[in-house]
Amino acid sequence: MLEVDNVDVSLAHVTIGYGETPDVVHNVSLTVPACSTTVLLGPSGCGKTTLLRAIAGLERPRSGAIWLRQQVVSDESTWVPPERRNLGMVFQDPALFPHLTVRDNIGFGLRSLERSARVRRVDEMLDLVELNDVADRRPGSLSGGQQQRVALARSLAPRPGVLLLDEPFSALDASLRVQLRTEVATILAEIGVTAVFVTHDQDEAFALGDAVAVMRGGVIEQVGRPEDLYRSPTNPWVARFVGEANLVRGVADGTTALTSVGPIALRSPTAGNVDLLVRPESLSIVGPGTHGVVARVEYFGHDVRYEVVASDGAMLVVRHQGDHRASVGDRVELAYRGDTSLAWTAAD
Amino acid sequence: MTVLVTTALTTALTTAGLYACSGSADSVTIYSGRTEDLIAPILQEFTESTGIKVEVKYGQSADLALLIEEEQAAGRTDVDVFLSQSPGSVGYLDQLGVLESVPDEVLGLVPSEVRDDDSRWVGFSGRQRVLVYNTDVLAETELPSSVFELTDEQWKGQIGIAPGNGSFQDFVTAMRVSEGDEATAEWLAGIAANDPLTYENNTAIVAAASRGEIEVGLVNHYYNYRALAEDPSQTTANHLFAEGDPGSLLIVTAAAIVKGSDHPTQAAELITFLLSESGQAYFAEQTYEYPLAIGVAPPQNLPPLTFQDVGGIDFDQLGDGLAGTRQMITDAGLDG
Amino acid sequence: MTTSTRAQQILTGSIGLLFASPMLFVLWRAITADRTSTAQFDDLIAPAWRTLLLATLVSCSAMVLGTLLAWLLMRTDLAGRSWWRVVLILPVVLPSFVGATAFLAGLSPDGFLTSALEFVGLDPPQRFRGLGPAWMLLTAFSYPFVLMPVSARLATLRPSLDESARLLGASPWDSFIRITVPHVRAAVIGGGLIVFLYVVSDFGAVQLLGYDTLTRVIFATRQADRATSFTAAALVLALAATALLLSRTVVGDIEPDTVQTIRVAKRHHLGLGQIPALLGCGLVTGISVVAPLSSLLVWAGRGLRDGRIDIGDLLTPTGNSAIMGLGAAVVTLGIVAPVAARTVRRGDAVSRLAGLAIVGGFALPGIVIALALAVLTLNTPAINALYQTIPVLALAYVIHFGSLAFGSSQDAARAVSAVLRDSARLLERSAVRRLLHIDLPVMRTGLMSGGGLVMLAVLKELPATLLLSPIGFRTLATEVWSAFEEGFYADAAAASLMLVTVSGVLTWFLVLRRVVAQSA
Repeated sequence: MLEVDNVDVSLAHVTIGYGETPDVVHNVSLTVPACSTTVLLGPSGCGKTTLLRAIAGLERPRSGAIWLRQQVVSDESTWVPPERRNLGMVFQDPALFPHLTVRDNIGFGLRSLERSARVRRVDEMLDLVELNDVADRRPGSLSGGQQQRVALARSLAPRPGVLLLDEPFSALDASLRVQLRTEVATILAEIGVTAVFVTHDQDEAFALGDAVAVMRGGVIEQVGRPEDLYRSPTNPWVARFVGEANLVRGVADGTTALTSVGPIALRSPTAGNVDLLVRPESLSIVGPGTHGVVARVEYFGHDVRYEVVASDGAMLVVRHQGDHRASVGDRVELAYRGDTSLAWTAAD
Repeated sequence: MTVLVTTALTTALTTAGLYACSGSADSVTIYSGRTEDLIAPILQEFTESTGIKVEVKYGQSADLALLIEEEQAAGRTDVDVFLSQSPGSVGYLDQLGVLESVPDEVLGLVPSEVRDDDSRWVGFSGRQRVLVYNTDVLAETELPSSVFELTDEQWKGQIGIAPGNGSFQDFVTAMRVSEGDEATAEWLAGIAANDPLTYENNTAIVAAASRGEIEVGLVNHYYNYRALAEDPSQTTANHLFAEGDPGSLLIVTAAAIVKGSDHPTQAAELITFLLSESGQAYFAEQTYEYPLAIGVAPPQNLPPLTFQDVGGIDFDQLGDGLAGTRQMITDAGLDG
Repeated sequence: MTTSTRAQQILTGSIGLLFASPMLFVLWRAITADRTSTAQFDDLIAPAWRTLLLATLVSCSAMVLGTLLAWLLMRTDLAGRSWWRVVLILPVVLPSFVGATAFLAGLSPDGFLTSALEFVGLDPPQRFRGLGPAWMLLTAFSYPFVLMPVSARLATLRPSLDESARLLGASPWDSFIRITVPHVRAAVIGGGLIVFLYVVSDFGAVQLLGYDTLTRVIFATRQADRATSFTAAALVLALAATALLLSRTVVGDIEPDTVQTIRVAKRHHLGLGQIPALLGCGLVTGISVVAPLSSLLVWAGRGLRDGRIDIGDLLTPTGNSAIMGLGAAVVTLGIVAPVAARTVRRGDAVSRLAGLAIVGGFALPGIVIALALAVLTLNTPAINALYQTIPVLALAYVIHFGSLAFGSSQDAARAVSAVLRDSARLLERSAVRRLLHIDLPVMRTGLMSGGGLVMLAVLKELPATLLLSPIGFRTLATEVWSAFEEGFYADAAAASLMLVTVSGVLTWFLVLRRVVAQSA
């Protein structure tokens, strides 16, 4: 495993499993650059939380090695317990200590500090998460959002080398989730901590992640910057998981493929039957025509989402910018307005 | 679960109903301070031979006496016969005036020494006070001939007593009668100064002697026989004090008829049966006790007993002196 | 205030009064007693001090032992833990006088303990009496009162709390002290209180171990000097009340963590720690279960060999015991749970006082409760036909053991949150159906474990059973006592083993099976 100075977390061939059941995480390797946020994104059961817990030291891998800041914390012969890893972690449930006040919760990990230094650090953290007014209350009386902010402050207080976040917003309602996500992104950027964030929500992953690792069935399918994942997924599953995607059937002749919505330029030369990745915003409705019949219309203000049944029977999603042009039942003409497209050899 | 609960409740209610209407004409109700193992067989024999049913509540003599006291105070009689392990509890009830006279023909079955002068109770079996000892540690010849010798330095920390138990308290009361309060108090103080080990009852003393916790213990004679019946390998034996010594007092178990009994005839019949030849034989052979009825010989396996051994003690005084006895035991520092 | 809440308040008050009645009886008798001798009160100071000392020591050690064992069972990968989970609560099924008698017999020359001690090269003690041994043995018999509620509490402790603490730099031990202990503190103290009350009301074990407490005074003087006897009982009550109030202040008003656990807790890996942990569990079991049971087995074996034991004769008492145990547990829950729920939801003065009376019932020796109820039934014309019937006996059990179901009923009531009750109210109009379909199912685990403890206690109960039962009513406890009293060890052992079996089987089916399945 290549070790680089500015890498804070490295995993090499990590496999996690119990007994006879199939591995929960299989042969995963990953590096997390310092002062950046890497998101583990995947559907539930894909092993992302287990992988995070292994980094934390709450699970012990069956094989493979884990480095934190160039120190081996887990391999065949080494095992550093969680309390020695200098990590912070925010859980799905805020996991605040119910018998301690907000202040004492935040100060829990600061036992090694002198009293005055501890008070100062707790105050800093209270400022950071803007919870000064509730500092002396018990967690039971706080709202869900406030609790999660206390949990964040508590995990950041001891200045952890790496912050781990395990779906911290999943128990909150949608608007609060978005708000808190922005706050957390700001805080993480402000203090420049290395973070590993687990989520099943692609919006969250793209909003927070400098890099996103897409996991499925215990393995990492693809790692990259959000825009790379969106634009250049390595397979149709990733393409669909990181955003809405139409897979349009076409016949390729090298540089171009002929499809039901017209010819589309290919990013790399291919021939034969292909499935092309066509993002909905690359399509628009240009007027009445024969490409398909509108089956459903959803109006969003800045754009309109149409579902169109194409002439070959496939369902196409169109995100149309601009004026509202068609209604359910209208026969319409579609136009491809995108760049060159990714193509995979058709499955059948 | 529901089924279980329903069954439980139904059964509980029916049982309650059944027992609530007990006490028919041809039956006698007994509160027995003697435990079931020691008396149930002979009571069954009584029912078989007379047709009179018996209903028994078992418990400690003192508790049952308290229960009778409370019943009488509430103006009712729930029981016909009280069988007490010791004269103390019948004496207690006699003082409260809640006992009926036992008919003369029943009293006449036993010598006058083992019945109440005012005819309120009658003894039906006897237990002799003895010194139980561990035969691994001591030989019979090393043992004292009088209970008074137990205050010797030699026995320091080696004596087991049950100062809270009726049998010990009755024994001390008897000592007060025969030797006087002064001598008794002196003896109690001497025993206390010898750091005795105290136990709840005679059974516990015999068990302690057998495991070597104590060398000797003051108990009723038959507990060691019981213990040997359970475990013949046990190394304990009884030692009798000399004839006439207060240490070898005979403690009687007593029967009394409770005031207001609906079945005085059946009650008298029961006591008569206990004093009959077969009744007395039961106590002698099955529970290793001394028969008290005139003309019934003590069992072969027991040392012979003559009433001279009793030392002419008037058993009447055992009951009313109980509170004073307890106070003396406490004053000596024995926490009786 | 609506009529229905008014009615509930009156009902709660009456239940409290019912539970308080034996205590009021004791105080009344203590005050009105005819005092002929003057030295009585001085005589009580030493026993009272000894009682306080022993009860404090035993409750402290039982709290430590019970909590540690609960943690081992619930939060570590202790080898054979589902087996230990059953074995370690067995001590509560033995009446203390049986346990102590049988334990002491283990110290006789050919006894189990003597052999065991000689095997490891130690001399068996010639004497096993006084404070130290009483402390040890009562701890060994009573720690399950702490182990059980603490295990239940640990089962609901969110693993993320412990994990957070670990990631914030706390070692496993650190996290145990700073996170786990505070979380279970209420359960630990509640269990400790039960142990304290158990010790002050115990008679059998302290007497056999030659440690004179107030209970022994109550017994020794109950006939010869009733004034002293009742004054001693009043002192027991005073000790209990002090402990009760003290425990309330120590527990304070900590809100229990009501968040339901989502994930099954990750167990601490003991590694080499397995060895001391297993040795510790083995030692506790050896003292509290194996030593007494081995004596019982020897005695019963002798009886079986020479045919003295008639198992058939035990069938009726076994049936009676089982029915009374189950019935009393159900009735106790029916009476105690509503009061417990009220203290949790409303916390008004009436329900809190009723709660105190319920808990205090465990402190009085059974003989005192039995006498109190006898006097009460005999002198109340409306109910004196019930004297020496099953209902009054059951009532004595309820009053004596209600406290065992009270704490877990409170926990169970907390599990039914206000939100849950509100949503149930919107969906179902009938209060009865809500109770049957929402409250009871949610409360079931808590109620079952409380009811289980009551059942075990009833199975062992002796003084009230002897005095208040219908004439001729035999239970396993009366059989055990009657045989032990006169040294019929074989019979006593057979009945004791039957008692252990019945207790074990009923506990397994009603309580444990579920708990083990839950946490396997």
